[in-house]
Amino acid sequence: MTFWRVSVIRSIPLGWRLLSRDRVRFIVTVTGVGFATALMLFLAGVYGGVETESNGYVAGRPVDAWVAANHSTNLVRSSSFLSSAWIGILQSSEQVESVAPLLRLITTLTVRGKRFTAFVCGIDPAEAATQPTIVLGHGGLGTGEILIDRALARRAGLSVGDTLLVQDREYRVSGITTGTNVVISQFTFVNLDGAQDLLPPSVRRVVSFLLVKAKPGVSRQTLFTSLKTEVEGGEPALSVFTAGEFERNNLDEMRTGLLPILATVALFGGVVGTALLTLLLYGAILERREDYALLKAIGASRGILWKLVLRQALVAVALGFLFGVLAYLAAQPLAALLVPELSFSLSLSACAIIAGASLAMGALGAWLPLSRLERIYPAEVFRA
Amino acid sequence: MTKTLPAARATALSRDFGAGTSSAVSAVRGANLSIPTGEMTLVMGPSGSGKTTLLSLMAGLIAPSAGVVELAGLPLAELSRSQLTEVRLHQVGFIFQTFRLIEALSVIENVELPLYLAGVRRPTSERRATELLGTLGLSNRLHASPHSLSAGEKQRAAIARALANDPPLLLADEPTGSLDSGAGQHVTELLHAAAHRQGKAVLVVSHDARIRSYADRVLEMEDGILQESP
Repeated sequence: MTFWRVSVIRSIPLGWRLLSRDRVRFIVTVTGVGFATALMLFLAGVYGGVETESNGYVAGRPVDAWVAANHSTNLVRSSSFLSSAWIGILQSSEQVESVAPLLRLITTLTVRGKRFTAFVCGIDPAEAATQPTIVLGHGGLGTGEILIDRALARRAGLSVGDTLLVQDREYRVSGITTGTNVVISQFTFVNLDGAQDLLPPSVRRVVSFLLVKAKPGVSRQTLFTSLKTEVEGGEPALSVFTAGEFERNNLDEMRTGLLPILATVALFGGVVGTALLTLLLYGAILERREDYALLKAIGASRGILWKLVLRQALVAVALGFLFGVLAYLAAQPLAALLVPELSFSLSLSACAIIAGASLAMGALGAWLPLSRLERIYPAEVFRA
Repeated sequence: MTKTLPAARATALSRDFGAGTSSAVSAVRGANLSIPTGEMTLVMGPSGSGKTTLLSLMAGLIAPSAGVVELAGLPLAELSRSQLTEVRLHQVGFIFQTFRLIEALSVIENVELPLYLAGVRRPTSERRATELLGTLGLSNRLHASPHSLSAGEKQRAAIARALANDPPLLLADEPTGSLDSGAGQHVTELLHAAAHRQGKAVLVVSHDARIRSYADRVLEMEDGILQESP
């Protein structure tokens, strides 16, 4: 014990002692700061999950270019309809190896009387370019078969072999997919004919996107230039995107839709954490004002006193951060279980940013207490 | 024998509170005071006579309305805030009526506090504090919490803290005010010894008449006016 005291604590742990004098208040504050941190970690995890999961399908396509109707820039939040005739037109291009059509609809699924809104994608099961990653079952997609996203399967209580209604047609789940959850909704897949049958008869010969692969030896840029020349002047005009460009567009759509909401909630979390920290430090200074007056009287410099308060803030924030990480690790599996649409992915860089935000919380939380400390006069030490 | 410079000196010192208002008070009026090293100076007077204000002025804790305070020959008015803090740290030891030990720290840590503020690291500060507390008969209470000490022990710990940085000047505000007669006498003897054995300049303000016989010089203060005691 003596060894510990002498060798490890090289100076008096005054800040810690003054801070932890009121244990209940200290624990409540650290817990509060911890929950604020956990909230930020949770939101960052959700955001990371959305980034990786929602873009998983687009990012995983083994294609070089996407062709869409003009002004349709992404798969998630834009409507695109173009004639099926374009499949043959593009296929005949010298630079093109393959063209895989994808018809994307938003419609209602009914499972045991309960309705779910989902993306229904019509694909050619023989085309690897549009085949999603299947974690259970098979992707053959015969007539009346449907692939559904894993989160939707959990949410709706569906497994391979179960049936559901798409509009009023019965489908049997033939497989479960991953990388097809965009939080607000999930992707399902039927064969292209089945998807086209969901449309009114007059518009059935349409697709939404064409996923184009270049012939061996043809560069992406050459293909892109060729496609642009070929299709963008057509009637109605089409848009061509490189695979990377289309992937970025999807990501940007998710970001612009989700990031401001998550950032606002995280900001509120940070404000609450800062307010709690301010209350703790301010209260600790007011309660121990005679001690601070004594310190000033006997020669504590402003620097030492500031360090004392900042150290207290740092201790509270560090313990709060630790608590927040543990709370996140404990809550994340539970949240994923309760809300299957949520997927989490917390990167080290996100953790570092939140650690930085916690430090900022500490600095802001110490600001008012420091100004209060400045207004304690050393002569107060003589008050009986 | 050459006369040494006093540890502290006040010249024509005044301090007004609430100047220009109807409740204006002159707590100290034109006080002249010299606190020589190796002597115990006692300022006596009733409550509200301005003794504590005088002490605050002598320590540079408040600024005078008029007059000059010098510590170790340095006019306090010419020092910056940080220089003043530095002077208090190294030149002045404080002893209070209510001890002012920090409850969150152990006895030894309280005594180490001025050393810590002066940048003295452990284990040097621990050695110094242990030595001082041993001298004052508190060897067995080093790691005790201040609230477990008797009033007399608390005041002895406070004296140890005041002596930690070996300051030439000790300022004591009613040091026996919270003590019984036995403990009060012991503390007075310690202050007397600090002056006569360690060569400290000791300024005690008190209305405890029992201290009078230990003082080398007694002054009286009433309504802010300081004068030699008859």
